[in-house]
Amino acid sequence: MASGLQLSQTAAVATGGAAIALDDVSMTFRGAQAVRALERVSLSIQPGEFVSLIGPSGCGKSTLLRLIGDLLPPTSGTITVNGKTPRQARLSREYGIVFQQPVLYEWRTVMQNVQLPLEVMRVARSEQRERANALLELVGLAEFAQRYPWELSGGMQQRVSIARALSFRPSVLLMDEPFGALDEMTRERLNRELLNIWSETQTTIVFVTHSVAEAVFLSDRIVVMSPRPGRVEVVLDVDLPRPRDSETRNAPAFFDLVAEVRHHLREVDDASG
Amino acid sequence: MNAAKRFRLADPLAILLVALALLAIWQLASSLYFDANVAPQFRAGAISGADPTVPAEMRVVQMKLPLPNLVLSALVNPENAAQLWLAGLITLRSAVIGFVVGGVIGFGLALLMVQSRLLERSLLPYAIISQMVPVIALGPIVYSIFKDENVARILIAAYVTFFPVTVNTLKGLRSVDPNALALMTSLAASRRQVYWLLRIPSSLPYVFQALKIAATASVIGAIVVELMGAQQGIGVTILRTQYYGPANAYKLWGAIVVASLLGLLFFRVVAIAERIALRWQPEFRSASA
Repeated sequence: MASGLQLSQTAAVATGGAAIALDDVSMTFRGAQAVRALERVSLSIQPGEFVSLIGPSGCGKSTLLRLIGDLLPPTSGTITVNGKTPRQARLSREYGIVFQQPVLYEWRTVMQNVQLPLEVMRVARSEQRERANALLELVGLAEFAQRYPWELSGGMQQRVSIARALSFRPSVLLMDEPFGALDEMTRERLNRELLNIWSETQTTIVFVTHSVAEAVFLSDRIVVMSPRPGRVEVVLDVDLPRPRDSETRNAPAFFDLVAEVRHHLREVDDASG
Repeated sequence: MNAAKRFRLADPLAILLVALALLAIWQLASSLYFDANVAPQFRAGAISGADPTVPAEMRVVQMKLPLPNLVLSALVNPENAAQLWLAGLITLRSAVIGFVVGGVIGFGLALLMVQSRLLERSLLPYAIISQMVPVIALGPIVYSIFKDENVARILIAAYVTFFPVTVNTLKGLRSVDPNALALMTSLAASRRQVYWLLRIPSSLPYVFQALKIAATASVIGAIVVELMGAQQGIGVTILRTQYYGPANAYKLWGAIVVASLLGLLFFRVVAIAERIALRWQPEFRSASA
């Protein structure tokens, strides 16, 4: 039984290195009271890998995502993305970002929102339309192309936001609790859809979440983090077979993994008081 | 959403009812006032203004509180109406041009100030001081410099417009969702693209708020210039009918009504433009989906 994890590692060896490598990364927010958000985090993510960051609030998982995406500069340590600095990677448009809120531009239709990155990148109009249509098809919103974001449900809005992030085929997708604001049913459906999209695009995904079940269902590896300051507590392999579907959630191995992640989270929580 | 829609449908009706109620009160009050202060034998003369034997204190009664039905007839009777509305249009034309000029300058100034806190801190105080200068004092000065009433009206209308537009646009340009901005950063968008695609569109609700204020203010500004010395315009009509005495009471009040309607009309036009430009704003969303 070949797992997605083994496959992506083989691919990594072939291309000769990690997609994302963090080496001794620390982050301190300066201010009236300096806050140590991340303490010497080292982590290596393979191309095409799906890695989740999980941990209690204040563990710096969103900060870590922002450091990778060059939305914040680290205080110390080095980050390498596809052999480049985060800044170089950002300028060569390697990051698709999905936030907890859809962050759609209200004055643009669904179609125009998906086209936004392509417009910024000055892609030809006809190609913009073509790609946006294909992506809306992929996320199942083709018939809502001409609607405005506020005419859509929260789940649909988040699908638009994912389509927008994928529109320019970034090599890395950074997702910051993208389904955190959605109800359980919608979340599980979007989890399945995300795996389908991921298998079609072969994007490297770094996924921040609060939900243990979600992390186990989606990931190749789960990074459990501890708070104040944020540290990597443990990295767990998820060797559930792919493709995963609703049945995966009923498998004993799934429950075992959920229990294991919970166990680590509890330890982290107890330690931080 | 349903309640909001019902309110919108009832809107014109409610406005009309209030107008009718106010007119009725006015009519009642003015006729009581008229009957109490003008002796029966002078009543026809006080209204026509043609009878020189009517005592002065009885003549001014109609200046103070005219009968609304006679004001309305002054607005439609061919003798006055054409002159009144033409004067109004002259004023409105200058106000609109000044409004556009002031709007563009105000918007440009905000775009400039948003570039740096230093620019904002050094320019904004002057914009604020400019609004401390009473327009009523500025009107004659501007007129004496340019010797052209159109230029003077346009300048003053622009002067009262630019300030609210600058202040609101500045706030709008700064009130951008940080994540929407982070998205632009992650896409390596240029500064210009951030403005065109994000900052300016999201500032528009603030801009329109200012434009609605400026729409009425620019008409008032233009009228103030006319009161200070001009040959044409509704302000001139107001001034002259006041000078020429009680015989012109209805024309005076007619001119006041025209002046108010101009401001109202302009406001409505801007409000409609807002509704079209900001279809996506929560308050204008039609109930669909």
